[in-house]
Amino acid sequence: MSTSHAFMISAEDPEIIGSANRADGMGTLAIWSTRARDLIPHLTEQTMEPRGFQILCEAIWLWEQYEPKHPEHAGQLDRFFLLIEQAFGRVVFEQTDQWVLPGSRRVRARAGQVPEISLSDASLHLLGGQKANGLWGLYRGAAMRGGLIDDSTGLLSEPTRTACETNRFRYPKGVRKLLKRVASAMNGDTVQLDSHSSSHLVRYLTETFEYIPMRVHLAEVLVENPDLNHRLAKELRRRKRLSHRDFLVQQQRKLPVEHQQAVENVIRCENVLSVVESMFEWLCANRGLQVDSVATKLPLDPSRLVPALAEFTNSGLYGSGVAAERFKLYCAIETGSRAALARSVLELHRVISEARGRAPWVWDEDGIVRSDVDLDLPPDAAFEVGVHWRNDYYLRPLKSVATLLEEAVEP
Amino acid sequence: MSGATIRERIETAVDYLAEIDNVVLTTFNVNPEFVEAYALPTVLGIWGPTATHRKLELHDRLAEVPVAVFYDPATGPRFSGQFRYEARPVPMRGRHFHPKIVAISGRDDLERRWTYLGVGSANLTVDGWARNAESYGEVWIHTEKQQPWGALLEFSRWLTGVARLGDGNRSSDASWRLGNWLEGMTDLKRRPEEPDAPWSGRLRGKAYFSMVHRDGLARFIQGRRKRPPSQVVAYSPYWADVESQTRRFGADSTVLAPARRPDQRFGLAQADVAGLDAEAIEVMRNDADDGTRFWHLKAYQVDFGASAFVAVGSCNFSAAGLRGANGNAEAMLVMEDDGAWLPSLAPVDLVNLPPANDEDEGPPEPCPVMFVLAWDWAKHAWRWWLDASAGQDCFRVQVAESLDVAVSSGTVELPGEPPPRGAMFRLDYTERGEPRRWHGCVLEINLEHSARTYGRPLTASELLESWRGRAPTWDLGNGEGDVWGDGLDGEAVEGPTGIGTVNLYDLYRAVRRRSEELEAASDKPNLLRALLLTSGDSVMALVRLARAETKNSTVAYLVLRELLSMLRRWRSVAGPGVLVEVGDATEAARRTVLDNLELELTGHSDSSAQPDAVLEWFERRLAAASRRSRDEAI
Repeated sequence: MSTSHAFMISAEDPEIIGSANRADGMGTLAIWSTRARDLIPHLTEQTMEPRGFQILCEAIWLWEQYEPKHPEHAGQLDRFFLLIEQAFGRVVFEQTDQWVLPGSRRVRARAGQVPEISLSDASLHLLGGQKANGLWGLYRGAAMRGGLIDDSTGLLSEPTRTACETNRFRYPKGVRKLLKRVASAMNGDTVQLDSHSSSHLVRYLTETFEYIPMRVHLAEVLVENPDLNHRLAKELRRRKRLSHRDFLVQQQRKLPVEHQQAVENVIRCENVLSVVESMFEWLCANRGLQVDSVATKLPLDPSRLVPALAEFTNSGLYGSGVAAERFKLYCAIETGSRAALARSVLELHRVISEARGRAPWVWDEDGIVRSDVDLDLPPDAAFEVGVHWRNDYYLRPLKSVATLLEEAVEP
Repeated sequence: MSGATIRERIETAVDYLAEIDNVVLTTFNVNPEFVEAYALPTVLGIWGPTATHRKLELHDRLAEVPVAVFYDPATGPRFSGQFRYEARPVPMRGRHFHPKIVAISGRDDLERRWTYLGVGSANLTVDGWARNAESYGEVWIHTEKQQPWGALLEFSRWLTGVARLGDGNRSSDASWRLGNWLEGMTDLKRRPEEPDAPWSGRLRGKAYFSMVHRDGLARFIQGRRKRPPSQVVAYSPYWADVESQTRRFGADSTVLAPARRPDQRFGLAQADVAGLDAEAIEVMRNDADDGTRFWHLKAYQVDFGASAFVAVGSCNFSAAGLRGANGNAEAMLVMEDDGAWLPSLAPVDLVNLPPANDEDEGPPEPCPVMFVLAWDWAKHAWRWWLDASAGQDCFRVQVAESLDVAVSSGTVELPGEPPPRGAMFRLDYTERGEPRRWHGCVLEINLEHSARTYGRPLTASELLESWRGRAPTWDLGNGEGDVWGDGLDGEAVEGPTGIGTVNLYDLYRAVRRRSEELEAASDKPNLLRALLLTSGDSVMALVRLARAETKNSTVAYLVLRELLSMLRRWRSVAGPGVLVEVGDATEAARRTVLDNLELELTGHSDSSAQPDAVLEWFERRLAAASRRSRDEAI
């Protein structure tokens, strides 16, 4: 753009427009995650591996041994945790050639080197933002919801502490050695760990990771409770592939009557969200055209959406936060005509974008569809109310955690 | 030239300032979410890899730097109340509050006072800062000798007084601080020469404010020149009263450069230019305006033959925009400039203009009532100012769960309970007997005394860790993720907050460190205020946790006792209201401890000890231990 010394005509600002970092344009996550919590109360989209919970609990248990002996590091559990996570990542990869938890790229990049841990040397961190993007950021919330961690102290809950102490590989020498190295690293040193497979430290970390000694307790917390979660997990474990709608419709018939409404609510919720998201993508793909003329080609008969919307309004409680606000917006979608529906979706997206302080991806400017994203037209099947399905409702994490816990065996 | 986006230009300016004292932003319409996500982090020099990081940092910075956003209430925004800044409505009878300025005051590394003044056409919205083509100009104010010094000083005084709320304590009022800041500048004639500094070449502009330069923009640019301009080129997205405003400039020839609307029609209609002298007035199109962006810029290139000027800012080509004090509140920046940076123009056939503009394309109706409602955190009282127009009567204002009262013209203070965050008011009144209703945002003032938590509430141990200078446990590192939820809309997880479990050893160590920090900040009033009153880990934040403690009254009392003595040391910053509040809380906690002691001592029949005496003994021991440990530390 043109500038003089003190004057200018402003250029577009992609950072503010948000084109570099776009997700969940229609704000459905807040809605469907609320419904999903009725089925699967603890897990999140990222918590696919029970080993993440095992390491988290193990690290906090180690901290409970460490902190009383190191008052100079009191209150620094998070920093301690980053080092334990690095130790697991580096040593386990060295021994098994794999690391299925966050940070695998950086772990692999140091293959063949003596395992090292460090707080001060950022190149040894498992991720660019290890705390936020690693196990601490991704698994701790789920662990607190499930009661593995006491949310008032941030330490292990009593049952988890007992499970951890009862079910562990006894390598006291290995633990002592690890804590000694970690203490040096807490003071800012970069510390080397053992790499030979007979080392107690290596065996302790590798076996803890591989065999998940707390698997029974983890299963009890994350899989077997509450009852609906348990029943769904049992069914999910049996399936090779997951078709969400088929699965939930089938479960709704099979489940005891007290659980049927929760499943029904999820289906009602998804029947609206999935097609509205398709409409949103379709509008993005039709940029530059008149809203009214393009709306006549919308592959969705609004009358098909009317009963789905009526059911959606009765799809359960959404609390008082973001989910409730979004729910109300979705309930107000216009279905009078294709044009009204298209405008309504644009308006819904505008309101959500505004609430985020972000520019909309697609908008109506004097009757013309404007968009700055490149999206393909969704297939016609994506507009079939009561058929199309988009969102996961945490079924995949539950299937994964339940299956992996079942597969874990004694060494 | 650095910075092609508005954000980048401001970032460059803010980078230069070692310390910011106050920020004043003005706008016509405002998107509060955008302000909180982008505008405030930019003007406060906050950088962070994720929105969550920026948000955390923003809370910290707002605890130190007073920020005010002035806006036109006719545009009906809704503020969240989640951040500590003043959102001040400026109602104007029959007109609009329309200036778009960014005024950032602070000191550079050499302790010199500066005010950076950015003036443009961009509102505080995503479109304004990121999408539209907007005009933007900047001037750095350093001495009283610069024209913008006096202009901005007068404008800041106008802003401070426009809603007469009668609020006395103004230390956290950014516009008041801006005025004071300007008054404290030197009267040096010579300006420093530093070719690499961002202010280099940006000291000579002239600032126009319609409420100060009451005769309008054309007169302002004309100055004392006797001859009218030979040519005026006007770029504007909105047009009205074209003939009369063309006369106002009185140029030999005038070029009108309208912007295109999204439907590719020009914003200037045939009806606007019908009957104009085609020899003297020409309509041209902006070559760069291909319809992909909205050219919202307002710019005037005024040629006097021997010299040429360019003015950029908020004035549309309309009577309301250009006629000065009787029109909208507007702001422009004028400089001697050949305008070579402005887009080139090409002739357009008038038949290509739309016959007339749609009526619904204009701005919203001006605010119908001169009313501002505020909650005053210092006085714990409502304040309002009403200036009823002729025919308006029977006013009644309501705020959900907080206020329901009849109001009459004038300024009123009424003690009450604080409104919920981001509260709106409803004003019912009659106009010539007809019922009317108006909604607006409640303004919150004297925010340094606000009892709200801004950002995540810290637990007592997190707070004390922070006082002890530890890497805070709530620091998110440099990641991309959001540790408080599962995604963009993830739910917040709040930790324990209680003070009952605080280790007393940690408490005294932390208190000592905080005291040292306060002493070190004694010459930095903003930082002192933040440490004592406003930051997430302020002394008052810990006071609130201690007051909320119900289980361990002894710890609560000991904490309050320490904090009261700390606040007394800084009574000039804390203010008498805070000392009374914390003094009362400490006394109440002491009484609770005595009651509990009495109960315990009653259980021991062989004990002759009196609760008062036991507590006094304990306090003496505590003081001695504290002295000893301080001496050891020394």
